[in-house]
Amino acid sequence: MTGWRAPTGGRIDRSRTIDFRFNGRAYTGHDGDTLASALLANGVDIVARSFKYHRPRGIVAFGADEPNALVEVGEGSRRTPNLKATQVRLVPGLVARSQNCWPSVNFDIMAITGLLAPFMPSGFYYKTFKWPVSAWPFYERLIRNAAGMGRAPAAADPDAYDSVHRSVDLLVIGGGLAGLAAARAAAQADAGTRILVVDELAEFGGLGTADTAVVDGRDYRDWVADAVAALSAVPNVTLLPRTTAYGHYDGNLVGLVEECDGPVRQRRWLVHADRIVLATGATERPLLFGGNDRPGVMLASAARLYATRHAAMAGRRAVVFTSDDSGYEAAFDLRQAGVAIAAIVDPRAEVGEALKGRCAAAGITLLAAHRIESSHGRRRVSGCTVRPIAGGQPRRFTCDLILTAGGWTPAAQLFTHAGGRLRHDPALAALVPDATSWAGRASTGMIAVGAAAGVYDVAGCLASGQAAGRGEPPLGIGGSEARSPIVLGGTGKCFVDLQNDVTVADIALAVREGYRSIEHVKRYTTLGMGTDQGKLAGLTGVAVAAAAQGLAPADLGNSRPRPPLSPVTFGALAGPFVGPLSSPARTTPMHGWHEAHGALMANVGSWRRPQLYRREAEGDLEAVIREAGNVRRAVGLTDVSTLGKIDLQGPDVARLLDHAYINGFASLAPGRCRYGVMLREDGMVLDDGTVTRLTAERWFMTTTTGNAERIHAHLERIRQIDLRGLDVTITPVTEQWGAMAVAGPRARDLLAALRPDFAVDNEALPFMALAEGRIGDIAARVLRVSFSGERAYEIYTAAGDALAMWNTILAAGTSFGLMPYGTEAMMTLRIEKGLFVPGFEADGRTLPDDLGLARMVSTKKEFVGRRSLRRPAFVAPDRKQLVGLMAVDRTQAIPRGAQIVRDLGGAPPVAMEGHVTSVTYSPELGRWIALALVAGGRAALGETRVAASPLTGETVPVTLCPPVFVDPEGERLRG
Amino acid sequence: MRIPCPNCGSRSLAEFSYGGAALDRPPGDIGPSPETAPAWDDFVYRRDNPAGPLRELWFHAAGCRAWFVATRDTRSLEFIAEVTP
Ligand SMILES: [Zn+2]
Repeated sequence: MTGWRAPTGGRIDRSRTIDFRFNGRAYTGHDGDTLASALLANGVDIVARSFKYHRPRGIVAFGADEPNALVEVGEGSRRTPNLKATQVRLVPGLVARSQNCWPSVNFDIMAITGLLAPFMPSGFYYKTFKWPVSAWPFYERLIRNAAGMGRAPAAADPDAYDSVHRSVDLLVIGGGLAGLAAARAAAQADAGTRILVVDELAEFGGLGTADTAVVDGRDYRDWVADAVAALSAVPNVTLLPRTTAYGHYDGNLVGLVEECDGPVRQRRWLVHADRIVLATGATERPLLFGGNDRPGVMLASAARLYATRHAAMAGRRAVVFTSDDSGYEAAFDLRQAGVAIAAIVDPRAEVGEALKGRCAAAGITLLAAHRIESSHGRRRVSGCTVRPIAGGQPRRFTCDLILTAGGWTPAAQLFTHAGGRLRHDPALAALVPDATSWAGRASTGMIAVGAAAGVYDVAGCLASGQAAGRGEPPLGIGGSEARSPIVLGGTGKCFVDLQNDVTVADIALAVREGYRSIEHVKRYTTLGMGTDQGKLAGLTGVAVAAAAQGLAPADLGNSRPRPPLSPVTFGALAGPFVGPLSSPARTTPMHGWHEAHGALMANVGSWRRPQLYRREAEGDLEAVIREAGNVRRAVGLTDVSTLGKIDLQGPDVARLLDHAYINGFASLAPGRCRYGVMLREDGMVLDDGTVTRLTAERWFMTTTTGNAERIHAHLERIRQIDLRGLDVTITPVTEQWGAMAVAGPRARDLLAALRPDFAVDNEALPFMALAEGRIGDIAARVLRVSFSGERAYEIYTAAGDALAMWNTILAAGTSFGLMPYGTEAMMTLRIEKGLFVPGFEADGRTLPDDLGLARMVSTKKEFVGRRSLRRPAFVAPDRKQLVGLMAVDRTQAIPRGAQIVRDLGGAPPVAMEGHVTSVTYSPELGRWIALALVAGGRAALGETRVAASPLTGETVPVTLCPPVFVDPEGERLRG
Repeated sequence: MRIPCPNCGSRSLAEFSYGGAALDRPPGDIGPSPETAPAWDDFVYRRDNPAGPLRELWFHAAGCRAWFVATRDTRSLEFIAEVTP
């Protein structure tokens, strides 16, 4: 408990005290705090237990690179896991809990595993939890519980999320010095430029430039205020604070998440940008030494920011371990703020005279060519051992804070998401965006500026930002002199990846075991695979793995960061499209009636359709049998509005249809319908439906429900590509028409009772004929077609008239025994008639002949798929062919999806000769029947096979029979 | 990803259906012949999968309903040539 709050300074509002709870205890902070700064100010030093060894861990970083302080925020259905305390804004009543600890951070029963550390080397999970496979669920639960992966809330999320699409000319990611300079330059060059500037913090200005820095002759704070004011005044500029870019995708699509207050919790933006400027700054690298994970070890830049922004001091007495001049600035600032500096330890032999002088003036002990070997302390740092690089006597320092400054790595992860490359810059000792990545790509790419490009000085950031904003090519960066060496090693455990507990020894072991590529080392050791995506560990890990192989980091390359850059909530990704909006359902004009009359609704493609109409004291199967039986005995009414409907007009429609269907349409007379089957070019059945010739040049096509859009595209393709020059207009009219089928022996009597203004007798309206006119005061188009095998009429009306027509038919139907029937009864009726359905029998592998349609195939014309039909494998006699099945024992059901095998004898594997495609109980036959595709099935009618379902363990002897079970001569539908 | 429709300009991928490589359909005479069968099999089954430019068909389903040919580099997903209706 050594953190403290300075009485003055910082950008916090001391007049506003905020109460919050962390791990069950009450604390106070101020407006302007983050959870992390408030915890530091309250002296909370242990915020987590580590992933593998359950070692105590403290806050290390200031922002998104924080590896340790993972917290769950909120309670109940608002609990959000995997947040970084460094990024959680302190708000009144905030409740947070450490994620990686059980039962508590201070007493962690799992720390016992620390004793097992020597036995948990890299690849531990690979090696230990691999076998037996059956035990995996157990291992996984164990690991997840112990590892504190965070808990998703059990209840539904009560908050609202929003989703926005935006196109801009320029997207600036990062609102620090370079980013603001880019936006200003772009707006000045052309005020009409649509610019979006995002920054993850609440305030613009970034973290990399000190308030006291001088930019354009002014204090940086004033320069930022001017820039924000100027940009806000331009109508085409949008400034979005508290917004994180999580992914860059092909075509310069960038995903953003904006943190909101009020009724919307988060807003997801999908932004298409012509140009992207990446101004995401840089991340400070830690330096490694033994026990570098002890609470109290922190990045120097983080301690400096907590002190200057929040007046939150991470300790009282610090040793600063730095290989970069920026570490000295941190030390001077902290000393100014009231933190004693016990020593500055610099592994470099040469330290600039100016820095030496400033240290001397401040009375700070400077140890050049030294390194920290290890830290000491029980719960947190109480001291450290320092030794000359060249060896020699160690010195011990007492301190409660060790600050490391190992130089900077551009925070350029976004640069690689859509194919950008990073290159190793020896002068910067860092991976920097390779500006040549986007050569030859017009629609994808970004320009890195400022620290994200490895430019760390004020003038350079300003210049690189302005150049990018004006659309000029990126400025060259990097010097020739190698600097900021990464210092490795020490005694005891040196952690490279704090979040995933990966040590220098783990990486060395992985290399010894033969893992060479950094991508393999990463996966084997889990280096950089935590929720922080290895922001802190990445480059250090590469350096360690390279050193273990005797290579330079540049030779090993780097692992490629992938989206998302930071965790994104499911709420933000789903946006408002949840519940009924998650998959918009299409409903027919009769939908309300179905719902009001006991319909059990089901999804069919994008539609909601009634499966059956439930009655009291009736099971679902009984309902289907009643509805289907009533169609065979009396008359039924069903909603077929979901059928795809296409209007075709022009002199060349017949030519188009002849090319689309296997059978011919040129000879179809006006007033007549014809059934047709379409193929894909590979010969497989695509769809079926009817086409009606309304007049010489006007036609009306129906498709199956699920294929409406596909068939429309298919017809347009024939018209525009295959047969260019046809005079045909194709209009999808599915939504414009409501449709219902009246089917059954009494269908014509019922139709006549509706008093249409056209004749409906068998002479005037025979099977496959059309009648148009009025039924009552409703205009209707009536097709005498049948999907049930019964005398049937499809009645089409304007969608707005369909419900009235439906009700008219129902009212008139009472005396004819009319009942509505759903899709289940429709299926029963079509299976009894052996009618195939795309998706069941026509499953993308069936040819017309497989379905018994060989006689329909025209030999007189070219059509889509024709030339595939004669391929040798397609005319083989053992192709799977459509047959009917009846159980030998007529009381037995046939299992759905069963395989057809010859008999039950013999040792497995058994040859599978086919499979069941559709099953129903047939009210007409009083037994279960099925359709199946069976190899050489048509030649084996009358033979017995076994329908075997390994899923249910059923084996049912079945007899192969013709697929048409009811009225094979078609007398009923023609009569 | 955005796709350049010759009628509507650059539009979101979500508005389009994919039509595969823009290959010429082999000329169709009645009846398969030994000469045309290999060409047909190439057209239907043996399609190239180049890492690089590919001429392909797109259908602007939620737009102008045009089928058009565009050339896309399969490595970068970049549309690299003028589209032809
Ligand atoms: Zn278009």
